[in-house]
This record gives sequence, structure tokens and C-alpha cells, in this order.
Amino acid sequence: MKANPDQPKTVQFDSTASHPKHGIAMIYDLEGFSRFFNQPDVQDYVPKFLNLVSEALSIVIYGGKAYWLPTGENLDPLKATPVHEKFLGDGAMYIWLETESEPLSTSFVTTLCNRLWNLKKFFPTLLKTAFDQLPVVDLPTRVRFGIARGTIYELSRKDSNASEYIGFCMNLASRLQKYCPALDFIASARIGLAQERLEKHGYLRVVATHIKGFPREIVIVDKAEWSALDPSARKERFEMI
Amino acid sequence: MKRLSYLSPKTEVRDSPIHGRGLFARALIKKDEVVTVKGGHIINREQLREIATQLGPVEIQIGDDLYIAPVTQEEREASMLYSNHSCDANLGVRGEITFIALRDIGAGEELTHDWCITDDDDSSTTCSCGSSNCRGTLTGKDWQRLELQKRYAGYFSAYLAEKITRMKQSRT
Repeated sequence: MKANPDQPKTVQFDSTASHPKHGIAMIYDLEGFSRFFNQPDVQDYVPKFLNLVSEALSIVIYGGKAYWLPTGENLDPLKATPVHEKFLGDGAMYIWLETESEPLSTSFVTTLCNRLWNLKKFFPTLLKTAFDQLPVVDLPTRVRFGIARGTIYELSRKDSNASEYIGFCMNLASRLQKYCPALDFIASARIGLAQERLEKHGYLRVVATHIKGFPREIVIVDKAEWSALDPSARKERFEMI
Repeated sequence: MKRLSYLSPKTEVRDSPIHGRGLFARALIKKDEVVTVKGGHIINREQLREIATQLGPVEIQIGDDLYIAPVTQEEREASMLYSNHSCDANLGVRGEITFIALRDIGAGEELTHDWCITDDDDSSTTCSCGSSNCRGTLTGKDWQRLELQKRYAGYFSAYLAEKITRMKQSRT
């Protein structure tokens, strides 16, 4: 049966997607969001908390005072700007596409990873700020990042000028972010962090053996988190290189 | 067995500091000079998967689902190019199976090509080529990276060069 032409429609796309593009997808997720919702009058506090986290991500990407860092330093804007930001309920996804004017260079990748790594590490400082402003007992306690690089297709929506993005890269970022709950930072080694910088910046490369659709994906994790990871979780989900 | 691939008389095969045996220049090789030409059978990915379990990595990708490779143990040696991967390679591709010098190459230098100029798949693997700009991890989508497209411009396999052109158009 054909739908009534006057009936409202769900999302429709133009018939052809873009040629493959190349980019980076970063997804973050807030751990403990469901618990947060189980508190009285939480509707008064959810937007404030989300804005605080979103503002921190803005500072990471567009620059500003990174108050969560022990140095409280001012960050410069990243050398590439995301083309897409999508709120995902208890987190968000950011997409960078490589262009002539904004190449996703090794130094860009390193800076992005280091800033996210620091935000993850010093998230308790952000939480302290949140607790100062919000009269709640429970806040999401951790932020978890998944980052990947690869092919991205752009879909144009029929109902607006907006674009949506699909592809390998987003699937991988999403699966990485969920892959090992004890690791708050996990990036595919596809992102292009130079080998020589890994050790220097406190990262470690291991093979993730059970990511659906990505057998034996080489990933970059935080060396300190890796050391603290339960040996059975390590054995079950990873192999050393 | 008669060789399936061509190796320039200015080359020799010997132990490589990168991996196993490698191909080395015995004399000066001028920029754009033909160094090797891959020979073998034209096979698809499924056939490659079967062969790879027996013969290891012996193929050169020449299209989306096309590879040139030996198919028997006997042909393996005759088809090998011995050109190891390097993230700082000195060989490029002309067409799809002819490897040429990216620059003047001195006698004694190992002859290497960067897998990003031939490969397009979803794989990722570690690299320990030892070059100062080693990527550490190689992926079958490295050809999509702008910095590598620039570094190896004009030296990608023809089927990848077409994809790069389309990608450039979609960037604008």
C-alpha cells in the first residue's frame, strides 16, 4: 500500500550518497547517566550538566580555558573543525572530514587524542565544578571515548539542507567506545598517531580481538588504564602486539 | 622455474633489515626507471584468501576485487618482487603492475614500496619498517589519507588514482 502523499514522512535521503570521503569519528559516552536520572527533580539539572560537558568538548575542539587541567591552560583551536556534531542521548558524535585546507595530519590527531585523553583523566575536576553548581548526589562519573578513522559517506536529506553521515568509520568508533567498559579511551590505530609518539604520550597499542565486524583491530589505549585492567578482561578481549 | 615477475638487472635479492629477504639496488637507478614488473595469475579476493593460507602475502592488488599473484608454491618464488613495505618508500607504481623509482636510488639501498599505493581493503596491521616517519599501523585505507596522496602523487596504482580523483572532486 502506498503512503498518502500528504502524510508526514520519516527521514528521506537523496537517492545517491557522496563518493567516499575520508575522516575521523569521535564518540563520547557518559557513564552513569541512567543513575543520574533516578534522582528527584533531575529535569532541572540534566541540561546544566550536559552543557558543562558539551562546553568542555567545545574547549577541546575550538579552544578556550581548559579549567580541568592542573595547569588550567588556554587551548588553541584544533587545526581542523568538525563538520558534524550529533547528540546521542548520553553522549555525542563528532565527525571531521579531511580537506585540502584542513588535513587530518599526524599533529592534529596527536593533539586531538591528547586533549581527549586529558579530559578523560581530569574528568573528576569537571565533576567537582558540576557538583558545585548542581544539588544532586549522583552524576555520571566517567566519560568514555571511542575514535576511528576511515571511509565516510555523506547523505543529503530531502527535507532539509542538513547532511547525515554513515560508514565504516562511525561504526568502528561506536563499537570501540563500548568495547571494554573499564577503558575510557580507546582509539583505532587507523587514526594515524605516529609510532614514535605513542610511548611518549602514554599510549599503548594492542589488538582487540572481539569487535564485531572488525576482527583483530589494532587499537590504542591508555597505558595506565591498561595496567589497571583486570587480567581476565585483557585476555578475553585483547592480545598484545 | 622461469621467472613470472621481472626484476631489473640492477637489483639483487638479499636479507633485509626490514623483513625477511628484500630487494636491493646493485647500481644507481634513475628516477622513473622500471625496477620490477609483477607477474602471476589474475585472481579475486576469495581465491586470494585460499592462496594466502598456503603462500602468505604474495599478491599485488590491481582492482577492487582483483589481484595478481602466484597460485602454487612452485610459482611463489618466480612471482615474488621482494619489495618490502616502507613508510618512506622509494618505489611507486606505473599502471598497476610496474614498479618504478620515485627518485634516484643509490647502489645498496633497499627497494621498497608503500602498501598504500596498491592496497584498498579493510585490514590493519602493524608496521616496523624503521623509517623515521613510520606510521606504526598500516591500513588498507591509507590511500585515502591526504598526506599520503600528496607524498605519492602520480605513483599510485591506476585503479587507486581514479578513486583519489573522485575523492578530490567530492572534497570540493
